[in-house]
Amino acid sequence: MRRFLLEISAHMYKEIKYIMRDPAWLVVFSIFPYVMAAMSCLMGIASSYISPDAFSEFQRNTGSSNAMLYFLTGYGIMFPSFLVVSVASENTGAEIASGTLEQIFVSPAKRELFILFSSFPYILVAMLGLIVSYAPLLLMGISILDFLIAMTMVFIGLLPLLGLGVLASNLTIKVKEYWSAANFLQAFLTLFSGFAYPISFLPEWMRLVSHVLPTSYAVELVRKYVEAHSISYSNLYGIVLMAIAYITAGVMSFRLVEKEGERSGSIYSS
Amino acid sequence: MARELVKIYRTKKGRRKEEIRALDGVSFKAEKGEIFGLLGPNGAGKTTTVKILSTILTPDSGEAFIDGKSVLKEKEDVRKVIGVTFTVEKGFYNKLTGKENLIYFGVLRGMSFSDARRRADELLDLVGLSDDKNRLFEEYSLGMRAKLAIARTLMHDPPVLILDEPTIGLDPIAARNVRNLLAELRKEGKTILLTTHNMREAEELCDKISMIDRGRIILSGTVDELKRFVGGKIVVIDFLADIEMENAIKKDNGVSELRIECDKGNEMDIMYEALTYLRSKGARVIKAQVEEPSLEDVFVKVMRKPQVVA
Repeated sequence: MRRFLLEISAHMYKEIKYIMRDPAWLVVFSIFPYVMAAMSCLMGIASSYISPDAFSEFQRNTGSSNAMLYFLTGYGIMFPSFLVVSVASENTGAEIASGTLEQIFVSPAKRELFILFSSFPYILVAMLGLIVSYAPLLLMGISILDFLIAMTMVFIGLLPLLGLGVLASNLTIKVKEYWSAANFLQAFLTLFSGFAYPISFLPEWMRLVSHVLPTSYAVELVRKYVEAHSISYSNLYGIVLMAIAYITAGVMSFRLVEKEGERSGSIYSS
Repeated sequence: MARELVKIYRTKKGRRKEEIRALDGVSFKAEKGEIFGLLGPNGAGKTTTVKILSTILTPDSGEAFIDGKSVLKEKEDVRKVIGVTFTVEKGFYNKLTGKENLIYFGVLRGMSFSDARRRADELLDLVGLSDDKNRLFEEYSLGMRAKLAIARTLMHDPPVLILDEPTIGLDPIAARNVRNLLAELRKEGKTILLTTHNMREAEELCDKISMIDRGRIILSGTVDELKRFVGGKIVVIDFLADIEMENAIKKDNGVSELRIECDKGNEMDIMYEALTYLRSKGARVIKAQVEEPSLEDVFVKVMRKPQVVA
């Protein structure tokens, strides 16, 4: 157990050092949800000049009477999701490029802990950013307890993304531009998660895709809680199941990466 | 100890499948507390051997043991007793300092943070990086990176070190520092497997050497045993002229060096003949002398006769 904790601490130590070397992006990251939510609201206001029914249409389609709350909730989840999925999906590729993967494999360190806890600190950082992003919720009448529950929901919603990113990373180890998987996943999440519009707007086949993305469940879960104080257990269970499935698949795929290395040596940079 | 290691890389070029036999029955044995050199040209199979011994590559057949443990069946145990350096220019995190990198890899090897910090300070001092320990790895020169790589192999104080060309690309002073360090480590009782294609380095450091080419060990023994393989003496003549000769190597300064292997007692006759020939071609002789054969002479000889196995 002590060994496990030491290894987890080592990965956290490394990543937190990395984050601390360039903390400026955290500020940008925390502010972005406001900017995006404000822009969406301004677009809505502009639309209401063209069509006086715009706001009632928004209410009817989203079930929300507070546009700022609606958008802030969605974008608040979008940016942490982007962060987690991009870090996790670039991890293996970046380790290969820097030649550190061989050094990890040649050590007796647990592979599962390495692949998960190299990205996990970014979930914690994303949560810190989210405190800033979601702070206006407190001004909109949300109690501190509800605020914390909403934060916990986002945290749970980010866990499957860790597995999804790791899986994508390991499936694309032969791609030299290892960051392209992150770009693809981010575009995918933007389109199908319903950060800024209800999923019910999407055509049938697109809705099917959104069902395999944990973010679409997380967005719905948090919005329902923040706006109606009700916990959607079906969404919560969906996220938990996805977390188990994606994390298991991610870890297993990393084992396959190691096997590929042992078989062909082609993934090593030396 | 490596026994009959075979490794075939299978690649695809378009629809065509290709097989590259990287190792073809490699066997050798390094004794405890010695520096064992694996010498060979680029693509000879040195790095493949190192990766197999480091447990990160599986051979198609054969077996290897380190400290009595199988690299195939007891990987976890082997990983605990080895320290490995692959390429020295990579393998660290750019945005961590030298010391932070050592701490991270030390903790992954089972050390506590406080032990890793203390050990990192000791080793950075040993390899002469104390003043630069708080600089980011990306700011390190190649020589500093090589020293840090060796420091990492020593973090958990393993009895066996596997070093893949640790001095490649280093300037002469940095290379000498690394060689001195390796000699010190041997005194401490470490067993070191060193791959290199630097003959002088191997001659200076290694207790035993295996020469490898195209995946096969073609000659093994101590430096003296290997030199006996050449036998006699070497006549060395430096001259200035544009003459193409089989045994002559053109140096950077325009001087050609002719090296002729000959039997003991015959060296003066050979030198006389060679000088007569060179003068007849209008060459200006700068230096002529008789030398003991070097490891390089052995290497050149065995590479010309790759069928030799000793």
